[in-house]
Amino acid sequence: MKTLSRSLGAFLILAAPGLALPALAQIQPGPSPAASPRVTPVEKRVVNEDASPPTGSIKGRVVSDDGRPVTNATLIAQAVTGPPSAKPGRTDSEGRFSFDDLPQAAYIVIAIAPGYIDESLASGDPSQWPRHLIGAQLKIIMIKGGVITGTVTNSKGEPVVGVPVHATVLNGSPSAFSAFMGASAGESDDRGVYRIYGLAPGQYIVNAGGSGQFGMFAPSGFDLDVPTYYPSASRDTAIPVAARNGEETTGIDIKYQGTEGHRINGVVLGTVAGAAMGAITITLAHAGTQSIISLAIASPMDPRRAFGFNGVADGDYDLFAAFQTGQQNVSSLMATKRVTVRGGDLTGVELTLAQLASIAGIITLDPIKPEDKCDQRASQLVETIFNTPRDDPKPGGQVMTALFAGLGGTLNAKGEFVARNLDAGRYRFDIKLPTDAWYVRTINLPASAALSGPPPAPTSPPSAATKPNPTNPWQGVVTIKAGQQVGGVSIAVGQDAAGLRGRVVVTPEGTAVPAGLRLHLVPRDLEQANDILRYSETLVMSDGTFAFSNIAPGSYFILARVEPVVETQSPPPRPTAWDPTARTKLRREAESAKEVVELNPCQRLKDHALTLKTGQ
Amino acid sequence: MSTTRTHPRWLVNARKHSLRTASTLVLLLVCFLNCGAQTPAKDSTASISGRVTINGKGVSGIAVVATQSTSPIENRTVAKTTTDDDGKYQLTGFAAGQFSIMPMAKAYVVGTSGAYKSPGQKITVAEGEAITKIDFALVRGGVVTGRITDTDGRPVIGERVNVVAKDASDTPNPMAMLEGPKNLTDDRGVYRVYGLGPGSYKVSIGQAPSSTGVSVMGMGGSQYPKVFFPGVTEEAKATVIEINEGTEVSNIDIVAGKSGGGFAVTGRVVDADSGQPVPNVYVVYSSLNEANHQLGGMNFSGSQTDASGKFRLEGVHPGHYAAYTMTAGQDTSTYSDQSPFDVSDGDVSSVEIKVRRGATLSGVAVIENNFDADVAALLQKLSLFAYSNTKGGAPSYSSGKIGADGSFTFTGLAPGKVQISMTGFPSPPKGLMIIRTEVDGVDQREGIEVTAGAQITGVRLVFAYGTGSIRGEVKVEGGVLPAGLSLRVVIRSGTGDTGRVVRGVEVDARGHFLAENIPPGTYQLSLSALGPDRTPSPAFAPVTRTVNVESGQVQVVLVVNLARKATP
Repeated sequence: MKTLSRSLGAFLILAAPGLALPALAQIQPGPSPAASPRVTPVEKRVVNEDASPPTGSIKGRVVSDDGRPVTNATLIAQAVTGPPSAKPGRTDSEGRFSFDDLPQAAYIVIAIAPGYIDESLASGDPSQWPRHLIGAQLKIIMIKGGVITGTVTNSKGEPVVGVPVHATVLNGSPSAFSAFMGASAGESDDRGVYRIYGLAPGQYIVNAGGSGQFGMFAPSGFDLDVPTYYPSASRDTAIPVAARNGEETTGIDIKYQGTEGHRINGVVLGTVAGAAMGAITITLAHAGTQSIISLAIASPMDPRRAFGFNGVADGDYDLFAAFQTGQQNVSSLMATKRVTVRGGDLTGVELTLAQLASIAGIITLDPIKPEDKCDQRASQLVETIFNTPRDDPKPGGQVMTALFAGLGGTLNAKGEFVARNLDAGRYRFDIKLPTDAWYVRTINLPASAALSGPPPAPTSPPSAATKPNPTNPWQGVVTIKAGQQVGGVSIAVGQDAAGLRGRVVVTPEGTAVPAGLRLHLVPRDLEQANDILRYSETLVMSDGTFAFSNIAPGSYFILARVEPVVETQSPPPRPTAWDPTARTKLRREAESAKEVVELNPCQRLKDHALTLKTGQ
Repeated sequence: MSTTRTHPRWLVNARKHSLRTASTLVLLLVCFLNCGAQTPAKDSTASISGRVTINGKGVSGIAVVATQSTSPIENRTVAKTTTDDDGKYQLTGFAAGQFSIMPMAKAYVVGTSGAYKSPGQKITVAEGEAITKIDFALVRGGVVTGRITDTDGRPVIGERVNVVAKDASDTPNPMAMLEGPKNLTDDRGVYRVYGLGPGSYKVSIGQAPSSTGVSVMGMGGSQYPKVFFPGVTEEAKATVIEINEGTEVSNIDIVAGKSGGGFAVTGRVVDADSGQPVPNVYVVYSSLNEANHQLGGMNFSGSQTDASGKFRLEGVHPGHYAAYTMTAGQDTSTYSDQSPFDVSDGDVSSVEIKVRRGATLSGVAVIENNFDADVAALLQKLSLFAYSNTKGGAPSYSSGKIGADGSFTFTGLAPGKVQISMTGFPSPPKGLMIIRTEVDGVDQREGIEVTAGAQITGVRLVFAYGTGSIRGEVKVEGGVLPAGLSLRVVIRSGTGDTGRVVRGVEVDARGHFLAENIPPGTYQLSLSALGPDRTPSPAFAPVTRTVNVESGQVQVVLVVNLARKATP
């Protein structure tokens, strides 16, 4: 059953940044950033002595790239762990903002100002946006977006008036926000002139006409037309246009063709649990580029759940239906279908919704005596960010799922996590701990039978989770099937982590640090030889400095190796220790190098010196 | 199961299909409930033809499109053609229904259309009808252009510029949000509003505190106070700009007032009975007109109560407001007070919003004149809405479904007069109509009186079913109707003008109207005129006519005699 207010409420939840915004954005596949989201370091100790949960502030300042304060920015602090919440804020005349009384959690902070782009959100992938913990002091830099401008004229050279013009990013940073804010859409005026501003730097394709993202609500009159791409082309022959920070790209004149396109009509099938809430969104994407061409909405209340698109050119398309309840605890339902439009309308397309896969489990803190604690900021499990980045490069349709994956990393105060809306594939665990005093000690997957079992019941702390599971040791990745609901993953976190910083001294003196120099920590204990969580690696900076953090206390070999420098790639390369052969070799080299470092619980070794002999 | 929520003013209006005060972004939200696809094709042989002229000469190559609304907020282009050398066009393939025909000449206006008027015409099409002479005599519209800067001389980006006819009230255009970047300043602060009909205009930016505009996450509203060209806050002192055919008025520059700022409003949401804090509810606010208890547009900023029920609203400009909650999660048994507060020159704290246990109202739905099982099954396809119109505050509403046994329940109603109406996807099942709401056998035409926390049972919701129709034509005698008027026919059950309103239909450009799926019975038709701002016009006295509908179509002609003026 359904009510206006509830659907409104659902929308508002969906509208929470990162959930719905990407769904409405034009996101293109591109090289995903190799790095996981950074978490701002927090120096300040935040301890609340009374019984209520500790709270704190996230403060900061918003400046434009020319250093002037941005005084009219809207800010949103969105909790990505713990109970969902979004707090609004506004900058003052100095560009300052402050979110106070925030419950302890990990937050995404988003700055919005028309014409500008929040530099830290330049990645259109919300799972890559930086997370902040309370106590953080932020400096948010907003860059003036680029401008693409030109005219739209017809075959007689007369201006085409009031035609929507869209700029869709090809690669680089998809401007999810600017797309939603309407900044990557323009419209020709009475002279045929259009001007699209607030564009993140990158290559864009520019088109006039077509049904656009909101064609079903406010038809422009050009929505039956096939979009004309700059300069007067189809999507396949469109010429990309560059947008640069704060610069104008002029003369992007479009000769409008105005040929009527075809229609795609269909229905969405499949059981929608709870059926009343939320909306089924149907996106039409160009198969070759995965760029989203149009968006339609069907109501679960509609017995037929019909949808339609106008103005479709001949070609291959991916149709993608998704149902989001807006409820945190329900996995989205999705359906995809590749269709071909050739010389006529395409009717009767059926999209059958199916539930996406999920991985659920619990993170528990190892008990520790109060006097042995070395966490200075009273960190909470709820601040831990749990993500499941893909380990295998994903074929087409990746963008579609990414749109609905939301912010990911949900973890509640009990440490329970669920990564939802996953396609079949291989996934890594990306666990960002809120303090360097913690380390991931064990990761235990449920027995393989449980992997294909029913949807996960609420997890309870497993009793025997303190030791690595000998029959199913953590190998760095987990493979899930379509729609599989994996439950019972247990992750134990130690509270007495060590850290190791230092410098590599290269001999003979004056020799530069070789590019690609990496340090490896290898556990000396033979029992841990195949426990990949005990291995660590880090790249040595050009000045020779290095740092390991969140390390289990113990005795390690430390080994320096020059390894091939890899370009940024997606997914990022696996750690050496994940591969059994490479691990054995690494271990052998470490044993023969005999460089040992002892790390005691909570110890922070600061000035470890390591000599590297070169130029034999 | 049902839900009640404080009922913001825009929802009432949206329900009444009067979209005047509703922001379309919120319409988008409502769309999650009500929008969908096209209606299935019926007999599609009707056609519409006409001619497009500019200064009396037919123009070739102008695209002419037909759009259709399949629900109050959904609108689609359904047909398109291009004018021939003589400006003639013909659109074909129409099923019966109402369409808007519009030449795609957006820099042009029809005759004396004011701002925001697209040169479209509404046409009611009968099955197989060949409609001719839907002509458009266009004149080139005027342009107003200028630049908006802030007090530091920096461009104000993405700000909506309102160009409003001198005598019209400066109501935000509800469709503005879906108009895309039109009428917005660009990254240089430059705006260009075109397609303005000849006339006198005022230009302004910003949002008055009492605005009916809805703002969601800072979108839809303005962070600037209202300023009229050339920089005055009083509307009466605004410089009037004269627009003639095809003229361009430039340098209409405005310096925006101080942006953002505003003040913080903090408080708590508590359960009225237990005094316990209510966590995780959205808190919104609207301007409040104390005189008539009308709420202005809703401001939603994503502000939620924390675990101790505390909330914080940012950037509230001076004014008189009410704060209320959007939804209490899954709890459908409560409604929220509207807590008034004033912002003058500082932050406001300790605003307390009470969430109260609402009344319940239950009963059974019946179809009075039809006992067909298929027809009875239609009842389960519609949704019921109960509106509680309170004396001392804005209304609240609750929704419900009719069960297989005909039962329905509303919960969480605020005290007041409760009216029950129906909706459905994309519209209610055809042919069903609520004709009475009975309590103890008495029709509650004015609504069911509900007191605080009452448990009312035994309500009888009486439907009628039928597929008759009323097709009418309006003839004007004694003169010509002033331009800019729209005509509307209200259909009431019974013979007098006090019957329950069962339908309202618009009269099209040809003076035709059509009401379909009317159950058998006696109805009174009442024709009246609305001015350009959708308020009743005194152009003529309402014309009434009683008709008897059986199963087929009833034809009527309503004659407007302009010699008889309406009594004010």
